[in-house]
Amino acid sequence: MKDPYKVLGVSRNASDEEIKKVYRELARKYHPDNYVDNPLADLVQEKMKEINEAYDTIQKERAAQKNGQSYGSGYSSSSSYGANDPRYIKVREFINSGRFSEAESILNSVAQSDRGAEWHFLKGCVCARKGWYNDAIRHFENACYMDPNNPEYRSALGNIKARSAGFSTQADSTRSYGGGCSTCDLCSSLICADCLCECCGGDLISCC
Amino acid sequence: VFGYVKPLHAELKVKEYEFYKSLYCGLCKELGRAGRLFSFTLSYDFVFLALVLLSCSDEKLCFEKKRCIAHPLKKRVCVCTEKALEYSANASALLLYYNLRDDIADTKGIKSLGKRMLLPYASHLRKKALSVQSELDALIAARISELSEKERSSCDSIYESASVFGELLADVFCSYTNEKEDCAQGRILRQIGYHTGIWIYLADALDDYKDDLKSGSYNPFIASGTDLSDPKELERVGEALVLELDSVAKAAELLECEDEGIKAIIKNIIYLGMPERIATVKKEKYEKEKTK
Repeated sequence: MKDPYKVLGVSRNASDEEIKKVYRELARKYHPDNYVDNPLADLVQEKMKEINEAYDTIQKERAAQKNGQSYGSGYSSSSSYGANDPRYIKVREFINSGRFSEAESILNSVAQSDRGAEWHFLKGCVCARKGWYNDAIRHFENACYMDPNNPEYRSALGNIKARSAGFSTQADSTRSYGGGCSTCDLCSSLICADCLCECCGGDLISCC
Repeated sequence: VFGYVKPLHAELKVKEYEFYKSLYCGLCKELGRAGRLFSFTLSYDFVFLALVLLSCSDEKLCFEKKRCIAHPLKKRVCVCTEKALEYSANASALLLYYNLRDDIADTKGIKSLGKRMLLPYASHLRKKALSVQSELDALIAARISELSEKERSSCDSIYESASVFGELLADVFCSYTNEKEDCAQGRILRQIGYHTGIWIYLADALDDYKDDLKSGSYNPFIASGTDLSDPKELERVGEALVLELDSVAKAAELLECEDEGIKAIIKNIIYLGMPERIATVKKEKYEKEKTK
């Protein structure tokens, strides 16, 4: 097994708080929800498992008296479908089992005039998986337009839009000067400065 | 098609910038080995390829000071590696050759004269690359002929041609690993290559859209009837390009890279450099028109 500290990327002297913070960040980054419709989803699950195990090991190591808590192991994405057309039931089966080209060939065989909201939704799912995002958004939009009250179609469109918004947030945090100086930093710097002044006989904050 | 994948320099740390520069010089030197003139064909895209390849192998890097023709007065620091740079240089030679040949087939008359003169030189470079990377050459040749077939026939979706270029880059990225195609690393590299390829192809098409409308050359947006003068269509394309980058970023996140510097540069390229490029294209080509 790999060194749990290396897996989390923290030093051995890191405090419990620091480790928890790093763990939370990693868990957010590699959360399976971020990799829905992504062909690398299984790798992420492995990575997440590795991170969870590492965190658990460290927890156990550090606090034998406490019971090691295990975080987030029950990720599953299940959806309930209510389809009528037997062709679409088949398509959904194929999509769920990851056989996208079979799903697509059934979809393509549906006549142009029969292509309703559900067809656009399913086509959108297949497109998203292939990385054909422009087409995916278009199909989801069509599905929502044809059947505005369907929660499944709405959430598909919402999810794909949320993904591009998430990318922009991530991009902003990649820029330097993103965090700035928090109030906490300010106070601790002042206290440090005060200590230094006192060492030399002066005083910066008279009350302490 | 080349030159879209660059970091946003202003957001790099100085040490990261220096490293990027010396990697660029190292790759340039590597290209120069095949022929001096070839150094001038280096594009940033292949520095990205080298970066990604370096981040997934535990190759030792060394730094050497060397002279070069572009900067004759001062010696420059160059990165030297065992494999990654040589591979990137070969891939770049092969793509240059096929790209050139493709361009010549597309343009008629006097305009292609310059390119025609370059072709024997490019084919000389290809021969050198062929001796080490014959499999990759066959893969690229097959994809390129598939691509030009798609570009000749009409299609419903911009992705019909774009995804072929995506597959091409996927081949380029993942042929680097010697392990089986379906190993984790190979799959990650394929994903990075595939989505980067689609992104480059569409970014280029977005850039050339107006020129292609005038000249009547092939453009996936025109061929699929996507009217980019409609702001709604343009916005959707922009969103689709962001999602493409998101997929690149997510795949890159899974690379086991120990070097924080390399990681930071890759992140910068995906999250800042590439979106910046699209923003510039949109500003120059689509927003100016409105104010006129």
